[in-house]
Amino acid sequence: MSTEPKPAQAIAAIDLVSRIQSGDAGAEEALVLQYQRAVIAIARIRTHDATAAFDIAQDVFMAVLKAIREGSIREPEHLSAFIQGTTRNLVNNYLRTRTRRAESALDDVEEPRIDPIPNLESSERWSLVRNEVAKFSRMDQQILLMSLVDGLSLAVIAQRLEISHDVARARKSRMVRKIIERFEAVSQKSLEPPSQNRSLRPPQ
Amino acid sequence: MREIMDCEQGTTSEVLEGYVAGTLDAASADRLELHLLECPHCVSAIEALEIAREDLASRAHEIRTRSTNSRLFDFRFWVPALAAALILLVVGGRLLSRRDRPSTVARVSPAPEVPKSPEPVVKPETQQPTAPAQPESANGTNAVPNPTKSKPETVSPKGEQSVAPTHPPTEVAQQPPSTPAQQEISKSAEPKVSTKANRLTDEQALELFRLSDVRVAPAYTAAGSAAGTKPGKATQQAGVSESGQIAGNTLFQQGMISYVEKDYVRAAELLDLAANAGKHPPEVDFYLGVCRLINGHPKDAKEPLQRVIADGKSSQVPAAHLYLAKAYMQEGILAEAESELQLAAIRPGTVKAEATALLARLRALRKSMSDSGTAPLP
Repeated sequence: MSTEPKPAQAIAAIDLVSRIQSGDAGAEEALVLQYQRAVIAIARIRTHDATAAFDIAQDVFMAVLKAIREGSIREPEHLSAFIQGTTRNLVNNYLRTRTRRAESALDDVEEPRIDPIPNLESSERWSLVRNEVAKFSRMDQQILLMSLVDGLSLAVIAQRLEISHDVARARKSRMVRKIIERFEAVSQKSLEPPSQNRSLRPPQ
Repeated sequence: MREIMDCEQGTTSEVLEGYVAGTLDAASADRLELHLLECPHCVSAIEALEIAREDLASRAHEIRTRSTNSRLFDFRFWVPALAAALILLVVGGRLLSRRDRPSTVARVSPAPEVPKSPEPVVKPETQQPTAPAQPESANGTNAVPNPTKSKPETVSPKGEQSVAPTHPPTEVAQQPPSTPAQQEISKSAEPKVSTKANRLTDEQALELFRLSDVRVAPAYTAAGSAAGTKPGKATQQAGVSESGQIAGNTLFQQGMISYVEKDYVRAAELLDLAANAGKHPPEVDFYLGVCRLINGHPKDAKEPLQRVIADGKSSQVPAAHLYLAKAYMQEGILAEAESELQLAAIRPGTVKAEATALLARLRALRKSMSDSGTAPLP
């Protein structure tokens, strides 16, 4: 997996940073909109705390926007890397201190409001995934539990459940594929064009 | 390794699973996070996996508890045990059908009250079978795959069973060696409840199993009680000849004594004789049907119960409908079972509430079978 951004991505990032630095409010909205879902997902998985993930994401964008305005980002084409690094640092801070807000240095930055719409829709997606998992057989649920929750390898799972490695892998693969496909099907329906985003406010 | 659909970089699901599970190394996690910021498809995938992880984590205890308790009933025990049960069922059925030899009828242990086919809880050959005998009791713990709601450790691979069709335990029968019986198994094992083409899910099989659970009906307590008193008016009004009436009453009383003593096999034998002694009151048929149902012979239980219903005069008619529904459920004939439950729920009385509740559950089960694509049972 290459860490270098694709040319198109690099150009888009440079353009976005440039527009933000020139005071384009729409560009800030666009940045938040473009990255918020991934940032929230990363924070959620790292912290296993959905509420904290939301707060961390806000802190991330506050920090990123502040850095862009101040011209602290030396390589705009690596904007994604900057966002990822900021996310990781704030997650680590959270895990260490369990604090929700950064220091007051960020208070002068308008708090970017994360779009709550995806969060509201997440309840539907939550139900969908839960229902999908509930349909799995007991053994399948055990496989998934041991894999995703316990972090056990397929070899260990197969041994504990007294099934073959291939069977364990096939069953897990099937379940994961089902969950992801169903989830994506719902997510596709809920995607809104950025222009219709009702909740983002341009920072003042 | 399977690649995530639409991911341009071909991220595999294993990588995403490892990330969600927290088993990915730091460098790989960082690389993946960088990728996530550019790939909405992978973001969607990990969102889904994270929700699944959280859901499973919240139910981890339940999932583990059920799996732990079910180890006694993994398929390596269950399949031979069920095969043995089927042998007993066939042999017992054949022995009971020999009505001219009551004194030599073997005391056969009733087969466990399980769904007709063992297959609902056994996965197809293409998959490793799940721990098939993992029925749950209402409180979420595992129970024996028979209506007895205690003593889960009753199934052994040798086929000996101390299972009871209902709460009262029954004796363990000697398994008679029988080649013809074994041949019968291949026929009798053909399930009505489930075939490869219309396999129930574990949950559906469990629910069907619970629905078909048979509770012992209260013993006959009218004037002609099993305690040895004179037969009641119903018997007299049946127009039975005196000698036949006396013989029938005696057998009925003896049968009810066995019934009260929870010897349902003996009770069935005696009640069967009473039913064949001539005209008899509907109570004979009713308890005969109940005993046969308890003993694991739903097919044989239907006829006497249907006689009770046809008679129409007995106060046991609603209960007969209920037990007939149980017989149909044990045979997997759910449409008929539903009809019988509807009839049982018509008349006000003690049966109405139970029948109504069962009817709702049966309808829900049939709907779930329809929704899950399980082929409708006969």
